[in-house]
Amino acid sequence: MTLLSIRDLDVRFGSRRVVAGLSLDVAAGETLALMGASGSGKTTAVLGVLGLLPAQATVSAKTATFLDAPLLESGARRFLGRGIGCIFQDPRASLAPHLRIGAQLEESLEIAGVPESSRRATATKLLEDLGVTDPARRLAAWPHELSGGLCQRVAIAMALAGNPKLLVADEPTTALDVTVAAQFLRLLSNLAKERGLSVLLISHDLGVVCAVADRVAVLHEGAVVESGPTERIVGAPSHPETRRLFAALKTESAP
Amino acid sequence: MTVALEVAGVSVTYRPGRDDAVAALRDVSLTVRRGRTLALVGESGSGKTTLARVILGLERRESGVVRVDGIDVDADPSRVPRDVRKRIQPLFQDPGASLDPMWRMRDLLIEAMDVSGSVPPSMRPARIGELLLALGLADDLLDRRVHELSGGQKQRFALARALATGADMLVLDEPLTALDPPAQRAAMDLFATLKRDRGVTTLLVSHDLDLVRTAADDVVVLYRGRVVESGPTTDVLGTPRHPYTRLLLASVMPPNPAEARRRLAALPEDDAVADPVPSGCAFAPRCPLVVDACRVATPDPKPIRDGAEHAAACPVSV
Ligand SMILES: Nc1ncnc2c1ncn2[C@@H]1O[C@H](COP(=O)(O)OP(=O)(O)O)[C@@H](O)[C@H]1O
Ligand code: SF4
Ligand SMILES: [Mg+2]
Repeated sequence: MTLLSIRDLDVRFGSRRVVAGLSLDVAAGETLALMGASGSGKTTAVLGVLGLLPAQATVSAKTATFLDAPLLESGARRFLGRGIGCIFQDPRASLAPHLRIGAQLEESLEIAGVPESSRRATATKLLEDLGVTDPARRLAAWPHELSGGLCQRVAIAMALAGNPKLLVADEPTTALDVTVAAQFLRLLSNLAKERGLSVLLISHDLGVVCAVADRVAVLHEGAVVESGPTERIVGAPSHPETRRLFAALKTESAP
Repeated sequence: MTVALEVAGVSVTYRPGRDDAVAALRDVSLTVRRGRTLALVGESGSGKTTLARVILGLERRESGVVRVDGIDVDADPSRVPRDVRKRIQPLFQDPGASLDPMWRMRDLLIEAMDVSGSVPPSMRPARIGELLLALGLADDLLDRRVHELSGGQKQRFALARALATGADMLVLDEPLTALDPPAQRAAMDLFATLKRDRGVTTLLVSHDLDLVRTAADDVVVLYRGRVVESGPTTDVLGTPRHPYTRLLLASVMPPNPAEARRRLAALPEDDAVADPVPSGCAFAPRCPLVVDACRVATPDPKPIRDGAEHAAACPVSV
């Protein structure tokens, strides 16, 4: 079953066409990695589909559906916090500094339609499920009192509050320490397996993509140039832009 | 071989509040020989930047000694001689922090050359041209002010400025994080050239183990303010001894689907908590090899065998 389906997505800022005819599908329970050089349009495409771009952006598509419901015409925002959860690069940036963790999680639960009387218990359960020890203490904490790893788990808990079917994660490990990033990936792959969650993962880290993605779509100048199973794309990339991208990533740190 | 930088028994405690005390560094020692690159690795909050700042004479330490070319760097930042400051050039992760936003790029580079007297005036335009070319920066950026540049451009200018001083020691704190892969490669090529041609000594702070593997001769691993393992890069990253170093390496996913999945599945459950440092070995709450004795005495780094440069602070695995 196809959860998210996009055909010929275009995003323009004035006369600049940043996303140009992008098409992709995310099936139920699958993790799709969106790769591409910086500036290739990954973030813009995803924010465009979710209706999160500023007003000066023009977004259009032949079709864009989530669970067969149109996304663009009726506004994708109504799915945010319900059918679709989002995690961004810097977990700390997605938390409001002046609100305790508990209040923020409860706000996400309110958006998801959880009645007030059961929000605290649900918040505690969410953190427990994500392996957070002593959830009561974490709920009472301020964001700055938590480590990066804990912030990331809180961000995931907020994204999962509405019991989404699709999790969108834009560079979720880039700002994390390697050990914390690895635990995050483990959590993500367990969630995908246990809850049948679909994941749309934006990443430029080939190791991260190899560890969790079932399929890879490679973006170049705003369009998908190649897509397929991770083993095939990584093992035998056929498009020259894919090869160029992987070569750049593999030698990223080699002198 | 001459020692260019020596750090011995350095401790630093931050006091953010009246009753708060955060031990950022505990009894840290290391030496960097002239012309070598030493990498400081460890998770965020492990003390890497604090140590870099101590070495630069920007941070007050409670105890310990720092020597640059055999000259003591005073524990009081205001008393560090200009001569020592000039010799070491810093490059921090956030380039904005070290560049005045209103300065034009050309003036920044010229000032750096002026202060150090490293390049005679007649040679300056040529030297600036070389630096821009090496870092992939367009000439017309020279007339822009710092605040008009993108993060990546600022980082490259900060680097150009550090290099323009002609310093023989660089302290690089996560120098590549603001750069995209091609710019990272250009910067790494430049460091390699500097090392080869000018024998520049480098302290590289990074959490990117691939970068460390290719760029550093020696590695020091910090965990919660203490050195847990140190030695030649091939030894420390090739045959790690300390359980924390092993966890670090096991957490890097290789660019191969079958292998990456195997590694992810084999990963031990690990809750990297930010709670107070326990007594004894700080890694004990996360360590798969922990025994009772670990919670009593804090282990010091010991050579893995007599005379070895490779040392680890774990009696159970050494
Ligand atoms: N608000 C905006 N106005 C104009 N151009 C933008 C805006 N946001 C992004 N862009 C441009 O869109 C291109 C793609 O950006 P982005 O989607 O962030 O790429 P990626 O996520 O692959 O790094 C870039 O060239 C960027 O400069
Ligand atoms: S001293 Fe004990 S707790 Fe510390 S790393 Fe070694 S085995 Fe683990
Ligand atoms: Mg992006």
